[in-house]
Amino acid sequence: MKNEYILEVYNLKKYFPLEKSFIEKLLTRKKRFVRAVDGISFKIRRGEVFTLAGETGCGKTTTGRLILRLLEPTEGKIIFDGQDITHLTGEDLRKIRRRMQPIFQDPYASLNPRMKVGEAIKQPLEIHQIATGDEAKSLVLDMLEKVGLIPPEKFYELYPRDLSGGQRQRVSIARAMIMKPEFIVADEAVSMIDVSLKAAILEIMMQFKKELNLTYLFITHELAVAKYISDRIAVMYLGKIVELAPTKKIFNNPIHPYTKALMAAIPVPNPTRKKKLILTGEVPVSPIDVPSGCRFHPRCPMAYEKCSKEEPPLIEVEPEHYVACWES
Amino acid sequence: MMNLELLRKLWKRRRVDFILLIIGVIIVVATLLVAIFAPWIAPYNPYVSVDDALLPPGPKHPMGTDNLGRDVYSRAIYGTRTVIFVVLISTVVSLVVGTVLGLISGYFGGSIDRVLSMIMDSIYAFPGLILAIAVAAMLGPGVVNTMISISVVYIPTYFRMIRGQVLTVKSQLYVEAAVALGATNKIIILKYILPNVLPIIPVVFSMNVADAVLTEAGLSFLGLGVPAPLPDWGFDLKNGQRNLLAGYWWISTFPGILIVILAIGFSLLSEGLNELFNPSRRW
Amino acid sequence: MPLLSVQNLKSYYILGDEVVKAVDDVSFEMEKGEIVTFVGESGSGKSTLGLSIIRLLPYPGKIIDGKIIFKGRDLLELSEKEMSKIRGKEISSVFQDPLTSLDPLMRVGDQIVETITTHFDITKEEAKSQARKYLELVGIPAERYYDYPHQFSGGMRQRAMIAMAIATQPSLIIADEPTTALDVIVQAQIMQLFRRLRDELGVSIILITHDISLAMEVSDKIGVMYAGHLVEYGSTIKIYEDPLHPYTKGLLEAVPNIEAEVTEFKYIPGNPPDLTSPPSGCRFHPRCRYATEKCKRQEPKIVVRNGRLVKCHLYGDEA
Repeated sequence: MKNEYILEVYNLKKYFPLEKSFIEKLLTRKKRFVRAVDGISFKIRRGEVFTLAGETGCGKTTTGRLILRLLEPTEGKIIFDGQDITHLTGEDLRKIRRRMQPIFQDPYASLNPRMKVGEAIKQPLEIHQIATGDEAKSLVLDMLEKVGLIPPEKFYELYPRDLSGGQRQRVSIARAMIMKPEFIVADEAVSMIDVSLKAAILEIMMQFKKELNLTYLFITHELAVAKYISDRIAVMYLGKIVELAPTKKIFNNPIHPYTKALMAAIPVPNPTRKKKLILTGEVPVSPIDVPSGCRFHPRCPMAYEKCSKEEPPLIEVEPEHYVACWES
Repeated sequence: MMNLELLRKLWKRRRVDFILLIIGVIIVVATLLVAIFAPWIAPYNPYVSVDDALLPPGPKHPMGTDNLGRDVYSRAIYGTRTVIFVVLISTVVSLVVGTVLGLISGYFGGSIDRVLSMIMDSIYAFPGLILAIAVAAMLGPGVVNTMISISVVYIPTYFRMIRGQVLTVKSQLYVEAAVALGATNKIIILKYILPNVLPIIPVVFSMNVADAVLTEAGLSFLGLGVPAPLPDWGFDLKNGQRNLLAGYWWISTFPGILIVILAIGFSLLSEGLNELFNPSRRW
Repeated sequence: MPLLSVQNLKSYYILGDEVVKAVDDVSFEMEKGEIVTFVGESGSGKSTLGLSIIRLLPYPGKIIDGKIIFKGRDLLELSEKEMSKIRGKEISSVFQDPLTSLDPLMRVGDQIVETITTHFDITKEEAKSQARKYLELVGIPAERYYDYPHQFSGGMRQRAMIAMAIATQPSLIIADEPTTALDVIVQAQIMQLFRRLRDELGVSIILITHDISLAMEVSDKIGVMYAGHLVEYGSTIKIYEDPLHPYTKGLLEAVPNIEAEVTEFKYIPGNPPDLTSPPSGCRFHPRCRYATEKCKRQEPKIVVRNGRLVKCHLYGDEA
């Protein structure tokens, strides 16, 4: 019996304790934390492309790692296909891992430099005992061809250092897809790829989506890329979701002041467009001292007294469109 | 693995380093060959008296004879066997023990890591020779005991290097990717960590051996190493010492020079390997 | 007379018998008070171009050939001593990561003062007040003079770098990926700052980036680089309305555009060039939809078409 929602996240939090200096340890008792993810909730439907968007430091990458269980949540729940995986370990966790795979940002760092390409893609088959020997090899060759690394026999024998960034990313994708997962967490999967090739990688990812009936959690700071492929987008700021809506709605009608500022600031390849800058100031220097109330209030042109006192909840302002702002 | 491409690059770009590496290789290989073919090369039996004592270097005895009438040249040749045997086995033991412990400590962390690190740091804090002396004095004379003394000294070296490397590799993205794939600890250690940690071993090893040669000679010099009448450079160095003032220089000098040459040989080898695998200047 | 005229510049990285032709015969002219952006992807040579102009190529890079004529003088003919008078004073630079370019042990304001007093013969007090003025100019409150770099955010550090760059009243600023590590909103603020510098102080800026959207928004002229060649160079508006070079066309089609209605995934087929053994003839030919036999054999000459430079056989071979 398949769940409508493949992933549900409830009040997820991740606090990183700060290392205190010796003097600080003597003088203060209070522990200080970086509140990377501070209470977010969302649900991802089977078969959709859900994007978590935001700038560096907003907590989107940490969220991705929490969902992949590469990090332990400080608080909150993660439900995958109806099963609570928040504190899962050992063999049970490994079984889940087979159904949920990452594609990381850095194609240069995500492949073992001492493993040939063919070996690397064969890994999941061996780890989960899906196939071995010749059968495994032919599956790998098949996959190499699917991701466009042709001739596959040649690429099978190469090392990561012999490939370009785009090619390495294709290897990472092949490695993730070969065990036919259900859910993919793509963390800035094309951010380090040349502009002229981004779409090629996205195309491969979408092809696999169709073929394997995948669901994507797409994490990115490039909203323009998100527009290409997402069904719904959640904008994060300083550890919280400030706006969540279907792609069309969020681009045609951004409501949260931060979303509006973000969209206005993104460069457009059009020299004739007149740009108006809405926002001054920037993300606080220290991610530890989060502003009180609504985190965005120090930079918000529409802030009033309530904003500095109370944190606004995420409410549905129109169907499917959620905003966390007192103004709306 | 060690491909010719790297060698070619070294030859083209850092000629001096290449030459030094070759010199190191020649010295080490020559020593090994002499050790293997000692019975055929040495003119006399190094254990027994073959002539009058204290003869100066001459046509029959190119390095003279020692106080017991033994041919210094033959003793020098057979000395290579002692040094190679004792030193290589000790350092290999250090390598294996240190690497395994370093791997476990670095990968699993926690209290195992803290305890092991503390022990290793304490051992490491002692100057090598002093520690070897202490252990050898406790264990007493003998070839095996000498080997144990020497290996104890160098285990922390490997432990620290490997542990450091493991910590670096462990934090790499591709290891995280392996975890996300569902790999077990065993797979991660064997296929992801170990292969990326091994490359530094040859460099550390050859550096180690250079040091161990000196430690072994030192132990023997102090009478705490291999027992007489085994031909040993350190021992002969000590043996010739009391006759030095009387003018019989050849008994100490030749073994002494050989110790230095071998140590330099291994040092050059390790520096060369380091330059080969981890070139200091890139673009 | 143009402010900067680069002629047939060749900068190679040479190590043993391996040669990387990072900048291979690049020529262009730039007027006073312009923002010119060089756009390119990995291996395009754009950063090398920037470094060559101020003669700061790292080992094993070498400027093999060409002329860099700045205000009438060929920079490549100057001695290192003469060049160091120009570097930092008449031509300043701003690089990508201000955290490593700023001295962590010195107050920000003092670093600006140091820059000023190195090139000008004025009192420290005078320099201090100027430093405060420049901080304000870039949008940093003057009180922050006494802060250390680690107390600044990324965007503020970059502004501090820009303050240092303009403190010597340069005619030209070279900025290599100045906003790549910063978030989009801060990037927009810094670009606004660049425009103000151009409009109010008459400073010319060479911007180097991989972000073609940014280039189009901010610059007067654009230079598109591919595999060490300058394949198109001219006014931004003209290039936007009518991109000539197939690579430029491909880039503009492939770039994710937040204001465009998306229909399908567009990209340029193939892989980025390997600069140790670049493709023969026109370096773009393996990926070009218009490629002919001629493109494989012969490197195209630079021609002038429609008010700009293009390096492509499609437009003939007569300059």
